[in-house]
Formats: sequence, structure tokens, C-alpha cells
Amino acid sequence: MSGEPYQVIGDLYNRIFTVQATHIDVKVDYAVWNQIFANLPKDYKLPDAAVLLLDKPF
Amino acid sequence: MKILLATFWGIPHVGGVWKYMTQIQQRLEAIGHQVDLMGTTIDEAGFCIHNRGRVISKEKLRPFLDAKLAAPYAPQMHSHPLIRYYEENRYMMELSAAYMGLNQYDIIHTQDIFTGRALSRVKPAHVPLVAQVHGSVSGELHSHFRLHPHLGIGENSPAWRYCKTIEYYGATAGDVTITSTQWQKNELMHDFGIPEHRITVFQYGLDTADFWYKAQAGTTMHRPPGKKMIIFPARLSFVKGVDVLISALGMLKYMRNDWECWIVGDGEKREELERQANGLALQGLVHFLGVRHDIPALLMQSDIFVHSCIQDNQPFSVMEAQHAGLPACVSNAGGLPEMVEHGVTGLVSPVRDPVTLAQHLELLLRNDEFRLQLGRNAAAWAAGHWSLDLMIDRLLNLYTHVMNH
Repeated sequence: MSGEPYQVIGDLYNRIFTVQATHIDVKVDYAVWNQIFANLPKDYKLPDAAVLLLDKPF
Repeated sequence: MKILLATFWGIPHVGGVWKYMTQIQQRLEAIGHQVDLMGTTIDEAGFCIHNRGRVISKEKLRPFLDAKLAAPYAPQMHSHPLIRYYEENRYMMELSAAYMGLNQYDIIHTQDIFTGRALSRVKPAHVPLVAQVHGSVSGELHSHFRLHPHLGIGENSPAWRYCKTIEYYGATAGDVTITSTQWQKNELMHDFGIPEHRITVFQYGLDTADFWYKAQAGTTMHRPPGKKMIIFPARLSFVKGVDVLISALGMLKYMRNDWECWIVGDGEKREELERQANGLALQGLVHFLGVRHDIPALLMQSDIFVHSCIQDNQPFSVMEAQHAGLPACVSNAGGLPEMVEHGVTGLVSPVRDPVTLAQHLELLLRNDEFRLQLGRNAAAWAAGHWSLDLMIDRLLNLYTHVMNH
């Protein structure tokens, strides 16, 4: 198994989701997601609520 | 200066946005700047910094997003497949950009509304963003919805409203918004309420050295003796209105027979357009050449350029045709009337009006002196107007201004 990416439970990164549900069976590549997480703004959220309001903001 | 040019679309591609990005990259790197090009990989399997060979696969992101953004947690995202497609891909672009690291750039210049919104959400606050709008995504999609009522997408449906909403947020994502035509500026002001002072207009430029190099390299195609050539280089998609030209040629055939037509490009409409041409008995007169890399040389062998599009902003194909000294028969869609002056550098017909287009083609085929004069006028206009040096100067000034404010 050497060379395979180190997998961690995705719930570690739940902070970026508006609805923080648990998915203990979903694993992510630690190196990739740690780098993403480190570079995201603190207030970053998914999904993009403003766009999904689907309402004219103007 | 370290600059990121970014697009939502696959790179490298044949279209105008990629040409625009590479022109900027080449010119700015020649004077000591560093320019990275970000986009979707051409197989759509990931996102890349193309010139650095850096790629992140969507499969590192998608399964996790699918779980966390399933319908119970993000119901609006699932209210239509179109919304889900664009939003999921945009979120993957946001995460990919974070992975690549935006902190290294002095300025970010996005090339479409999806990228504008995406990178504005993940960039560091101190890095300015210039949002370029090359066309109207909502305009194109709304036209598509209107012409395909069986899709069931009306003005109150989520997919329709999504197009308008994402266009607003994408176009306003930057510290400044650039567009190349007054038409597009007016659309942004009137349809999306973007304040005039936030929009900068300057036209594209064409790398004439590259154009003339390719023109002189020649082509394997030869014009048939005794015929004049009509040429329409474009992606074969609905919005380009190739079907309008074919309808016009179906009429022109009964007016005169001293012409043939090259349709250069490929796309999802190709089979349908070939059927249309065959149905009008245009075999032998209309030739579908597919994607070619010798368009400048083909233009040099042509007599009349056509761009009968439904909507377009400022296509490079018109600039190239004008440099080649061809009169342009264009529709009055979008920014085209800003490129072609009726009766001076070409002839302008209403959108989706094959009768007028056929009359314009007939006039130019009948009157050699008029056709050649329009071509000469077009070449003179092109030489003064489509300057790449001027465009790069304006862009650099804008970058500097945005970085200093």
C-alpha cells in the first residue's frame, strides 16, 4: 500500500459546509485537503448561499 | 508582477478566450512579468495551472462534495441539473484554486463569470481581482431555453433565475470589470445594475505578426477557379448562427452560381448543419472543413467573410478577416456593429435574417469594386484599431491602478 495517499475522514473539514452532517464513511486525501483547508478564507462556506438564493440582488 | 489568468473552460482550447489569455501571457512575459494560466483540464477531469503542469483531479474533491452537498443539505443546488452542474464544478474550481495557492499572485484576472465568482470567494483579501466579461452566459442560455421550449425552462424556473444570478455575482466579483464593447457595458449596467464607474471598456488586440506568419505559411485548400469564396470560421454551435448563413446560401444559389463557401470549425451542430445544407441541395457549394489551423491562409484565399451570429461580443474572427482585407457580412448581434460599419467596412443585417444576408452576399458578388473597396476600408480600420500593443498597455495600466487602490 506504500505510495497510496493517506486518507482521513472528511468530517475533519466540516467547518466549510453550511450543514455539518456526519459522513464517517467518506474519506479524503489528507495532503490535498489539508492544503486546501489551510488556504481557504475563514468565512468560506459551501454551498454559495448568495447565488443559490436565485433572486435578483439588483 | 505575478499574474494569474483563469478560466472555467477547458484549456488549451481553440476559442477566443484561450487566444486572449495566451496573447497576454506572451506579451507580459516578454517584458518581465510572470503569468500563470489556470483552467479546467481539456479532458474536464481536473483543474490545472497549464503552463506549470500542475493538476488536481476532480476525483480528489467530488466524492466528498457529493456527500456533503447532497440534496437534503443543499436543496437549491439540486433544483435543476444545470444548476447542479455549474455549481459543483465551480466549487471544485474554488477548492482547486485554494489548493494551488492564490497568495503567490499580485493580481488575478478572471475570464468568465464562473471563475470570477469562484476566485473572489477563495482569494486572499489583499490580492486584487479584475473580472473580464467576454460575453453573456445568461443571454446565450436564455436564448437556448426560449428556442427549446420542450426543456420546460421558463422565466420563473430555477435554471433561468440561476443564469441571471450567477452572471450578476460573476460580473461584480472584481475590483473592476473589463469588457471589450459598449454593448456589453450597457448590458451589464442595464440588466445587472452594475455601476458605470466599475466597468472599463477597451477592445481586444490581434497579434498581427502571428497572423501574417500563418497567412504566409499557406494552406492545402485551393479556391476553385472562376468562383469567389465566402468563408465563415466559427464554432458550430447554436449561438454562432451558421444555420442563418446556410439558409441565405440556399437563396443565393438561385441568384448566382459564381461562389462557394467554406465553413471552418466544428461543434455540436455540425451534423444538423450538414443535413440543412444537403436539404437545400448545397452539396458541392458549401464545404465543412472542420477545425483547421490555417485560417489566416484560408482568409487570404477568400473574398467575403460572414459572421451571422445570434449573439457575440467581439469575435477574433472578425478582426482577422479585417486584417486580411475582407468585407464582413455580419449580423447586428451584440458588439458586431461596433466592429463593422455598414457600407464602409462591410454589411450589417438583422439577427436571424437570411433574406437580407443573401441580398448582401449577392450585392458583394455582383459589384467587384464595391466589395474590394469595403475590404480595403476594413484593412485600414483593422490596422489602426485592433492593436495588441495598445490593448496590453491599457491592461497593464489597469492592473497597476487596481493594485494601487
